[in-house]
Amino acid sequence: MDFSDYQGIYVVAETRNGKVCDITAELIGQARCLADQKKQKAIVLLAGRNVAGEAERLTALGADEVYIFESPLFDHYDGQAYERVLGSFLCERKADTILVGATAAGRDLAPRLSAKLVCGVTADVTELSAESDTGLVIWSRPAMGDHIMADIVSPRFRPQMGTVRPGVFPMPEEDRNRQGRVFRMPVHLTAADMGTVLKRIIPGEKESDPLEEARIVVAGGRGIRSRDEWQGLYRLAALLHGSVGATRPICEMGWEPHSRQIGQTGKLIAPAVYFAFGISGAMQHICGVQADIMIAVNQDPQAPIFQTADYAVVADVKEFPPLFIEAVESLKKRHASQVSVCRL
Amino acid sequence: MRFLVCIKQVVDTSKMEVDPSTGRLNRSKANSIMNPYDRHALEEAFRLRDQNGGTVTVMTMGPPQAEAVLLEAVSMGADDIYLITDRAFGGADTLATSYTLAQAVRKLEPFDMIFCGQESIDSNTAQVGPQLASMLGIPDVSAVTALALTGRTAEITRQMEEESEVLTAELPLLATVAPSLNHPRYPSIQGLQKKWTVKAQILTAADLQADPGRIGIQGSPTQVKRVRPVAPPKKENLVIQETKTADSVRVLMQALQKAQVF
Ligand SMILES: Cc1cc2nc3c(=O)[nH]c(=O)nc-3n(C[C@H](O)[C@H](O)[C@H](O)COP(=O)(O)OP(=O)(O)OC[C@H]3O[C@@H](n4cnc5c(N)ncnc54)[C@H](O)[C@@H]3O)c2cc1C
Ligand SMILES: Nc1ncnc2c1ncn2[C@@H]1O[C@H](COP(=O)(O)O)[C@@H](O)[C@H]1O
Repeated sequence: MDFSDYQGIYVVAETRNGKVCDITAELIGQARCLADQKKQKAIVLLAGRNVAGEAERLTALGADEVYIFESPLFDHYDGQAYERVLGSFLCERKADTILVGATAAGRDLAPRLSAKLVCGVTADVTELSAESDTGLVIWSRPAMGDHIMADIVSPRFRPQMGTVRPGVFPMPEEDRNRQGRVFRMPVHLTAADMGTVLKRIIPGEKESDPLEEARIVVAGGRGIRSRDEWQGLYRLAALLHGSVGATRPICEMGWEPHSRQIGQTGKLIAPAVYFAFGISGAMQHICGVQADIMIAVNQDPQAPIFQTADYAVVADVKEFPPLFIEAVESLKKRHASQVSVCRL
Repeated sequence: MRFLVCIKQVVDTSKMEVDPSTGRLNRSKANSIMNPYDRHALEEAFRLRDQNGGTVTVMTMGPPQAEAVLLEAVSMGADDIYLITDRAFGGADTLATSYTLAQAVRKLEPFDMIFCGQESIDSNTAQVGPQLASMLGIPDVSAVTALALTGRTAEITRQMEEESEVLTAELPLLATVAPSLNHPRYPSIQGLQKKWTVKAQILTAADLQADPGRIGIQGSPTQVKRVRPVAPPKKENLVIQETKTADSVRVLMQALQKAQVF
């Protein structure tokens, strides 16, 4: 099949309060790589109410072209209206590849776009590459309850589309000297085109230290038997400037809120260093952790967590953490300053 | 009012196990069940029917044995059930599935509200709802956490990344249902009795006048190129098992300094 007239790696940008979200920067980083490899352009579609001011930042992040779609009706994400405006544009443009964030809005928009463009869409992608000979994009995602990774391709249809999980790919450096072209597109929308009307926003409680942003995560499981021992995790996390995470049973007991749960039904995290204290390492937990270095402490030498850990410490989680904290503290004193965590 | 609920039979992925040495998926303990999210979709349709009057139609696309989930829906209170089944539908991805469901909706129209689960536990794409809405040319709201119907206006809450949004929308409308929206009911005695007396009505590709190029494998843009175990490769293989915990601490500290963690 000849798809040579399908050109351009497109990113659908997302904004919050007029500012581009991190996921959009992450997507531009990936679009840039794909565009360079396939010798195509990286193109960003920026839709929103008052967003034109962000166009320059998008080119600095790596976009060759930015198309702005501003409308007072874009005060909230509306699937029907976004599909109409962006879908029509993408239809005309014959996009090769479209990247959308796997956010609440993106997970709704991408399938709506795919229905309009009659193309495939892979959900929740965590790895992305292109075949060197064909340029076919390989979208990889956890599947079957996160038990396996599936590599998904769309050889017979264009565009190729995927939603990409936030926080998985690095944010590219901004380069203010990069040149890009910015186009303001007319938006023909009336209130009748809107599927929904925004009545009000209920602010969420913003987390003080979100787990997915922590470079060091100190996590505990059911091996920790008392709340006193649990406090030890907080002491260690404070010492290392990290965050505390937990397995599902811990959250179900109410020791930690659900926002601290890691795994299939919790958060997906990719810290530099992951400490697992008294965690058995069930697949549903471990599938949520992509750490550079994993240290596991468990008294059972057969614990499955040791299959994935880089450092498998067979020890009691009653005894080990206090001694470990002591050792880190004394190291800190010896260096007279803070322990500098090189992985940070 | 006429309510439609799309439900799916799935393998119970929570009962799957992966052999850690081979990375092979063992499905022997995983039964086929109704997608858990879809119970919440059913419940919402029942609740609105009980409040506003009307009927709840339930449909699924799947192999003949998927009738089981439709009969389960009857035991919970479904009025009409449709099994969309044909060899030609086999191998459908979300786009081909949504197309097939959209053709069925066109045959059974009109509906005031359509409900889907937020996602399915075996594919977790959350795509079929929005795709179906797009094909039908109606609005949709994904992952609804609160819903109230006044006349033909729905007030809906959905969770965005940080905040929740309260929206209104006019019917017809498609909603995908988050588990926190409600507590699904249990089968009733009458429902369980009814379950044994009814059969699902069958819809085939011919019944739906489906375009052969849009269904089954033919109509599915996405293909699985390969699957592989999810477990990341082991990076370092240091087992620390000193008799004294203090010694283990010391060995780990040295190792972490060597690895430049500290
Ligand atoms: C659909 C589904 C989704 C799920 N989603 C998630 C999810 O998102 N996140 C999640 O975490 N789980 C999830 N689970 C649950 C998961 O399968 C496991 O049950 C859970 O992760 C186990 O938690 P744990 O390791 O804390 O407890 P356990 O499995 O009980 O492990 C405790 C470990 O502590 C060790 N231990 C005990 N005492 C000591 C001691 N004194 N010193 C040292 N070690 C000790 C034991 O050897 C054991 O290995 C899910 C399950 C299902 C079915
Ligand atoms: N084969 C199917 N038949 C009927 N409904 C389906 C089917 N597949 C998916 N759905 C509906 O779409 C929702 C989302 O599924 P998915 O897009 O697979 O995550 C499910 O909760 C169902 O409501």
